[in-house]
Amino acid sequence: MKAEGFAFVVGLILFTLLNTSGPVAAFCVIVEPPTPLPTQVNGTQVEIQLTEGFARIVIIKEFYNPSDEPKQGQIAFPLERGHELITDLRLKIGNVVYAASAQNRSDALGAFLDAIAKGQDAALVQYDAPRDVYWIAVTIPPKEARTTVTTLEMPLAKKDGFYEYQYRLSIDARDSVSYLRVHVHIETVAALDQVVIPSHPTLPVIRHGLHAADTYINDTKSGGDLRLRFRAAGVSLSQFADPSGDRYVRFSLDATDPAFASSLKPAPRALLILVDASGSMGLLGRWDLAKEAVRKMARDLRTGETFGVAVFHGATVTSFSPSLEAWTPSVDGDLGGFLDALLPHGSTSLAAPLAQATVWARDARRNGQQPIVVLVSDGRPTRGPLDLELETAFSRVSYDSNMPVFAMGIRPANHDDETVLHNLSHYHGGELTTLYGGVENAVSELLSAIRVPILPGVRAEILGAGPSTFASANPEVVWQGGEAFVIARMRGTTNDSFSLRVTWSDPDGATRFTEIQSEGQDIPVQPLLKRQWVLTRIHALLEALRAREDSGELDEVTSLATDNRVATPYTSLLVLLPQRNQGGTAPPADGSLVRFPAFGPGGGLASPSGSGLSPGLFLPLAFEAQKADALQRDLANSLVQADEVDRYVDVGSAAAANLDLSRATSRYEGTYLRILELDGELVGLRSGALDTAQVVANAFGFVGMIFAATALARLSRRRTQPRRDPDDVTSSPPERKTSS
Amino acid sequence: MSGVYFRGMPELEGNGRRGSQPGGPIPSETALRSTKAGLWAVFLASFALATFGPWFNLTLGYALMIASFVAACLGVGWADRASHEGKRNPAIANGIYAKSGAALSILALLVSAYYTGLFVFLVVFAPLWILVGLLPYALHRSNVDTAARKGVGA
Repeated sequence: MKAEGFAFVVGLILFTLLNTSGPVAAFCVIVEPPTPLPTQVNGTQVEIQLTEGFARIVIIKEFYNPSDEPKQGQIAFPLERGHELITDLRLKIGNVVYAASAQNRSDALGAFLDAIAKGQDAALVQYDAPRDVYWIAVTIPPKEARTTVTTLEMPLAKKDGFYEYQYRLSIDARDSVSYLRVHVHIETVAALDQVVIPSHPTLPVIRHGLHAADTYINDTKSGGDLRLRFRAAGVSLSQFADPSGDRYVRFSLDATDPAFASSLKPAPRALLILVDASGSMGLLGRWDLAKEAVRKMARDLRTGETFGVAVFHGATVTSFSPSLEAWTPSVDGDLGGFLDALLPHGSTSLAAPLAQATVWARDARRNGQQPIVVLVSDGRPTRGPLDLELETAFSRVSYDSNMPVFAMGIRPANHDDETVLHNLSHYHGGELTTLYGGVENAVSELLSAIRVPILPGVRAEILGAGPSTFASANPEVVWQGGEAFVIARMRGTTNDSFSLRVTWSDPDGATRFTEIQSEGQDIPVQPLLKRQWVLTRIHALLEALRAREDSGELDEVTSLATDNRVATPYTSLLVLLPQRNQGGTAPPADGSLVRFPAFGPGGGLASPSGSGLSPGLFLPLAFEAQKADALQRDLANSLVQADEVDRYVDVGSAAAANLDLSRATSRYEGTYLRILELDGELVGLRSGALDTAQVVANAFGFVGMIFAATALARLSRRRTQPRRDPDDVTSSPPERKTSS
Repeated sequence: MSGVYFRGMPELEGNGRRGSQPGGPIPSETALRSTKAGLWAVFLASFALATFGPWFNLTLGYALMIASFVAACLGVGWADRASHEGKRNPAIANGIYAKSGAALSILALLVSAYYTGLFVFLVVFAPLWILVGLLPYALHRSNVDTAARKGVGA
């Protein structure tokens, strides 16, 4: 029974945590329900290994349970797409380290729940789809400590000649009680050229020869996040062979390499500016900022470049022009007039203008331009699609049309809104720029972050090595500031000679190529290369699956992730410790924990907050207060406050009768107001009938007040009999005093 | 001429129309006070009713209703006292004041008792209240009878 109870409590905590509204907005966050003795993080040690195109981060966290109850240490990792993936979890108890196994997602969860029901210690890494976070759950007995060793790995892309990595150190600094140690080790195959730490400019970088450098942080109050940039000089070619006979080779060539010099031609831009004109954009001066930003973006365009502006609110998407326009002073004037004529109002569906963007993207491609989506919004979608569906919509458009998605956040109300835009604006190298005041700077920042292809169709071919599997795109497009990058798997050993041909075309159509030939022993060995290949391949498959489900790709990613111990949306990592309580009982008979929405698609959504009223027969005043509260709650709803409701209809009216409520999705359920999403708009359904009891009470109240006030005024002018002793009934009536 | 008049209201002083006669019955201050209390009770209860709606404040509502209840109790008490005074002293005229004070106070009592939930409380515990109510009533009657005997014996 004790084990069952513990399993139930653990399940309940998991359920509570995973259903807590609002996304986790930071990297590696400790989450726990409010408790007098919260789980403590004694300390954090971070080991960051960086090399060309790859980062491995090992986070060692020591949890301590100071309470008398068994607890779960919870770490949430809101990992960005295409960035880190959790590739290992180990649990350290005393001097013993327990390793994880990778399993199918549902199998791992079942095994974890079984284990804790039997009283076993366990740890699980799982992807929480509704909140788009990975989390680690660790059971911690009372007064005991557990150390988790979590490994994250990610491919690094080169930008402007530098590989860059950012670690959210501030979160660890906030949580860690005793110590926070960070060790960064950079080791490159080519000579390490430059290491820059913009976040900690005074931090010493210790060089070890030509290829390696280290830096250390040992301070729980390190302040901000850690941002590192480094670059290696020259051509980068490395290899690794595993005992099974697979050989991995990586080659990269900077876009600025002289070999490409005569072939580079930046694609002209086509800015597809999607402007949110919903009700919330009318608040806090957002609309003025948005208008100015849009005009400044358009003014930056050069000859041969075009733009389109689509303004959306409610179910309406209004385009400045049906086709893409080149910027001219007269067009600028028209654009100003177009934007000035719009009044922000109605609901926000960030996906609404995507259809228009797709059409423009096709037009841009026909014109030989690179379409670039710029979403201008405060980041608060009030109408579907939301969350993952919204991200999928953007992902699909971005990858189908091969265009980056950038976002300009116009005074986002909170971090959650900013996160929405952040999540939508990373496809194809997009970025988020936040605008709070200085339009000029924000627009410059956004435009300078835009990269366009400068060399399409770069194809790599490995000569004389048999069949090869490329994890990187082949052919690939080289973008401004980027690199031509090849990572492939083939059969062979490190002693085999290697020959690679990279071909591309000049703008005039002439074919050019460069060949790399090397004896195997001359190619440096890079031990992390296999992991880099695996990660790159998994990311590519995940991106493809996000855009479009394919059973072949799904099988491949599941198999690859299981074999290489990588947590993905389809696979989990599980650590099971030897059973402490052999007499443990079975898990809850109905297995209901597994069916909790937190663990399945569509979970984590808060149910509509109905506010039923008690009859209030016994306490009419309290009942009246409840009604008033309900009405105030309805009016204070954020959708109403931000003018996000497209239209209101009264219950019982002809307009209400025409609504097909069977197709409606509820966005708010109040006492006197329901807000429904129906046919691409938000409809406020008001309780139409007047509250008769209230009106009658008000009428009686006002009449009674007037009557009483008038009568009192009249009576105050009365002459009255002075007070006498009421018992003195024998006394004669008082005589009036007369003066003689 | 605007204003509110009650049938049987003693004449108004100095209004130039129906001045009081020297030596005639004089309006009872207690009766007048009873009417004023009743009107205040009605005013307060009405004010509370007028605040119903989205702007309703529960604390204010209870405060007004309880104040109305207290004023109404005072109004009933003074009306009772005025009626006894009038019986003992013919020189004092209650006119309609004592009755109207009692009526307004009882009306306000009913309204405030209903809205504060006291009414239901009274109904639920009716036997108890009847029992408890008999005691003050007996004391009250005893007091009145004693006063009447004193008056006869004098």
